[in-house]
Amino acid sequence: MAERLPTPWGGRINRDRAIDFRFAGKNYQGLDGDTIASAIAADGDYLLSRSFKYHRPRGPLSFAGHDGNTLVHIDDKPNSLADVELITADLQVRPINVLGTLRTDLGAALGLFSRFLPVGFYYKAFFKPRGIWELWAPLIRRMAGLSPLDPDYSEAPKDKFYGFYEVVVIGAGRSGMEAALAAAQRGERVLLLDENPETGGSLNCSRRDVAGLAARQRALELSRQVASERCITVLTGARCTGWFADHWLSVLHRQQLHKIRAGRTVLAVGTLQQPIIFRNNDLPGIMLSSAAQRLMHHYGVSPGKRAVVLTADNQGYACALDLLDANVHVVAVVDLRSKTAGGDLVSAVHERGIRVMQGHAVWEAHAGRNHKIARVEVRPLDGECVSPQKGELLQCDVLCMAGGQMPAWQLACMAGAKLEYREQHDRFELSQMPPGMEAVGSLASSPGEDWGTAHPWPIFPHPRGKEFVDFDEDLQIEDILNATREGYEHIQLVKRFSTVGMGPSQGRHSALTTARLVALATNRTIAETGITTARPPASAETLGQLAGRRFYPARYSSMHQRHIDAGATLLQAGAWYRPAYYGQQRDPAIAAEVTMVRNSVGVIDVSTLGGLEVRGADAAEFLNRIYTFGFLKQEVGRCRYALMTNEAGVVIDDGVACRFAPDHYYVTATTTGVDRVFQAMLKWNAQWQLDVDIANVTSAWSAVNLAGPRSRDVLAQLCPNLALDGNAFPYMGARIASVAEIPARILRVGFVGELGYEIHVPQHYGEALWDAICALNVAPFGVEAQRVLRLEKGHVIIGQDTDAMSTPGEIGMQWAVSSNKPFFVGGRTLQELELQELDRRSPGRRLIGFLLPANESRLPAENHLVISDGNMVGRVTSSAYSTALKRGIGMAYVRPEDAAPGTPITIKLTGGEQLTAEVTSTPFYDPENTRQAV
Amino acid sequence: MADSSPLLDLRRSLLHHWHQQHGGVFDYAGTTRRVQRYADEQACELSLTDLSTHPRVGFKGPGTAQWLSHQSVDLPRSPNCSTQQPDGSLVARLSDHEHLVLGNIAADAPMPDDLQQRWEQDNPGQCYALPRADSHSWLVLQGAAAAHMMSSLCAVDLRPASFHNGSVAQTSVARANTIIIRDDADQLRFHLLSDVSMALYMWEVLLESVKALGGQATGVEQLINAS
Repeated sequence: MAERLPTPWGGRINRDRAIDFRFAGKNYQGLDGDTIASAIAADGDYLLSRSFKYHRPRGPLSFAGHDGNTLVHIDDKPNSLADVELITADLQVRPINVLGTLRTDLGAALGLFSRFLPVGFYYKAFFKPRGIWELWAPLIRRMAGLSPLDPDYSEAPKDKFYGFYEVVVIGAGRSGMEAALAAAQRGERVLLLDENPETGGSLNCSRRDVAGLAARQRALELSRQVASERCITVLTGARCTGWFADHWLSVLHRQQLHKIRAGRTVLAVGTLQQPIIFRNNDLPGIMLSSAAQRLMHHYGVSPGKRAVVLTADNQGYACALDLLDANVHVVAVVDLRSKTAGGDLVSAVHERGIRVMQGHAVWEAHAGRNHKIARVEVRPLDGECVSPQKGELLQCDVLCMAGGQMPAWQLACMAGAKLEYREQHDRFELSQMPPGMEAVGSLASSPGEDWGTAHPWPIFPHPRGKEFVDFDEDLQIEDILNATREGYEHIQLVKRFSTVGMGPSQGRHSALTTARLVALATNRTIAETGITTARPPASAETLGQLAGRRFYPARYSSMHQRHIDAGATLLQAGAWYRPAYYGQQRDPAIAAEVTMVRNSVGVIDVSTLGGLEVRGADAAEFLNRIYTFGFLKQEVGRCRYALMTNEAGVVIDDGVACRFAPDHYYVTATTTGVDRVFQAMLKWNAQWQLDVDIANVTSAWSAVNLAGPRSRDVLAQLCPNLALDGNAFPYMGARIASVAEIPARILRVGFVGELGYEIHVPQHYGEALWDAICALNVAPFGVEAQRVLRLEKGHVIIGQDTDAMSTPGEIGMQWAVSSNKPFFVGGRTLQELELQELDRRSPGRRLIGFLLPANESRLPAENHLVISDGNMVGRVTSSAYSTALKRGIGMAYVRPEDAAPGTPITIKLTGGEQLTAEVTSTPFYDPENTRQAV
Repeated sequence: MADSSPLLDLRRSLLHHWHQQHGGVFDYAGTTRRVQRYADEQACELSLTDLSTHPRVGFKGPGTAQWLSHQSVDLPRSPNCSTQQPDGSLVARLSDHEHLVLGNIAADAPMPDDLQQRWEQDNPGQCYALPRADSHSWLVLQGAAAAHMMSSLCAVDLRPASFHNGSVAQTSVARANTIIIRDDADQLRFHLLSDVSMALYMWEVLLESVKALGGQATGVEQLINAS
């Protein structure tokens, strides 16, 4: 491990604790507090990764997590920023975009052909001849994609956190801390957040005075005040990735997503230092001057031995002084400007004998061993152009660029602020800040306040290219210009065609240069050209962070534990978990349960059925309008089938309406349809304004269906005081009584086609009811057996045997539609459809029952096609093996001309096999309904 | 406090088996059988308690406020507020026309059952009883860290300075519709009422968060003692 700079350099490191880790197959030792990149830099290495397209060697650019050069693969975590991620013991770090080794990358050969791989090459090259893309795609996908994803990777879920503050200050530098303190002094509750691990922002790593002490001192003073202020919550190491309406901020902190609601937002995010565009400006060892200062101030690492500072404003001078203090030989300060406005820092550089090359630029950088910068060629500038004459070669191992400032515009622009180019100052500035948002500090300050006026055109095209505008996407000057030549002249189109600004840096270092180049190429001003839209996220966030802790609401009936105890296999219906069948073997278990119900008695948990209380003077009128049947004359103590259609006449739900009083109905609905029914009822009554109250009481009632020839005997034992014979309690009767001493509503209905009773009890008594029934040697049956039983009776299941087009007539339920009431939802449409069918304008379809031959062992599945002459003419909706009929049965949609009983239909099975079935009338079983109506 | 009603033992929380498996010791109070304490229960700063078998009832309809007023119920003046009743019950106003009546923690406040009986006798116009005792589970979260804990499960600002005592929020907690009522008793306390069929889900989600902050499931005994 190389020696570090003495204190006060290295504010973030603990020099007493060394940490070993591995990168690219090599052992490294850093210090506690080091990032991966700083620890590697301390060892003299700057090569961290290869570039996305040409596999060019790349090293840190910003040392702030603002660029994509430092993306690495950590253990099983892809695309991590090496200049942000802290080292930990035995960390395994791999470089990305590498074919071969980091130092000898075979993919780098692509750079030799870059002339033939311009922007848009991919769009044009791989689509002809037809089908060629299939060959190219695997190769391109293997080459692209940054860090490889581990399909088995799982991130420990972390709770999302909701926070509420009167003021949120983003950026804890000087102006951010001052703003937070001012708000706190007004008594406001403040959240102060910063992406750095400490407060102070750039005060901790920049030089504002000749002595180099003032900034750090101010940082300490302000940090102390902030820490002592109770109204301020400080969140360091936190990145705000997005602004949303009403000052809703997404903040990532320690892998956790914070959803912060702010009364108002103060942006103190400062400016982004810009690179200078020249040939080979991406070599390892070339970095922003602020990056070099971060390396020294935060980590105590000297960025090199011989430095050249290339600057477009005075910030480079501050860096030069820092380098000098760190015993780095500053070969020269190359200032693009022909003259400076002066200032203490500039004077100090001159006074300390550093060579200043005014009005010069770096024409080209050259790499030495290990791909690192070894020298630069410096040429004088003639206005904004580099002299064609051979320049001076300066030997160096680090080049620090200071290309001017760009406001960190993303969050402000997400909120609606404008980024406008001021021609007179040659820089972008924020304007039209939205209500409740304020920019402070250098984000809002006048140009030149900090670092003087910058050179307006730090872009130096080279005949042999490789002057990178966007490091993420390997875009050179010519690539941007080519995009405009292709006709993509608008900045938004340039972005989409070239992908500039789409990489991990999100345009932080490329937006300004791109705007300048597009303006030049399209003969517009930079102000007219503008920059592209800023959208969240401003920096990378993982899907795991967005997902947070997983919540999967699950609904259980009060009898759930009994089902588990009885060995039920569960199925899911919406959020409900229901017993599908009891036992290990599916088909034998279902068959046994079906036989049990047909021959004896069984009990099924139907608590998931929807339950709605409809009460009030207009309850009957309300149901009469909502459902297709007539309800005005329904007697108290009777149930009536209730079929619901929507305005289009499509069947959307069914159930049973039980009248317990003239002004009180209890209506059941399907398990997954009840919420929709409830909403529809509320919606319609908001229009009708009937005197009726509708309450969804689905969960308040537990229910079972006691079914089978012996069900009456069983029920008689549970409620000895209730007359149960067929006359006293007839089919479709409804009673309020006690069952096993539990208050209950009993409905005599017959979904499975046997004598049966639905028993509804208050939810908390559900398990006791179940126990009481099972104590009488009644065994349970599951949903799968119920499906077979109802199919034998030809009863449809809404949503399985119907779809978004099914009308009552199609599914043979015209009998459930009243033709002599003035209105019901969907009635008008059904009348119209009926007329159309009479006029033969609409052929329609029919839901029919079909029988399979007795010797047919194959069974069609749901949605197998009904075909005729090779064409699809229908589909199967339900099928099962009927133990009662000893053959396969089912329902299917067919053409009306095929719906007559006895018509053969052809069903195409999976794999193309076909079988013939015969249309038959339904019910398949007990067509006279003698069993359920006894 | 044994009750003579044969229904008492038949009425079970959906968490009944969870309580049994975790050493729940049951007792009786009024018309309620509930967990008094758990076998390994310790004193804790943050607790979650199941009151799902405790009395509660709801009323809904344009005539509700008038009828409840005639029953001498002290009604909250606006929706999303609650008022403490002289017998310790809590009445929460969920909308202009809907109220929720919760019995007290000790389950000895008569108001919910009394109101239910009087409603059945009166059959008041445009006032409809809702079976809140069966439609919703009732969990109680108590402790100074309760608001902080809820900040990872619920998007409503429940901090004491924002969500004042007596406030009601009808919102989503861990993706489940939930009524939250702040009802402090020396400590910060939230009543959480969710669809009863999600009781086990809500219990497990909340308990995981409670445990992460050093809390635990407690019986009614500790809840009462801490109040």
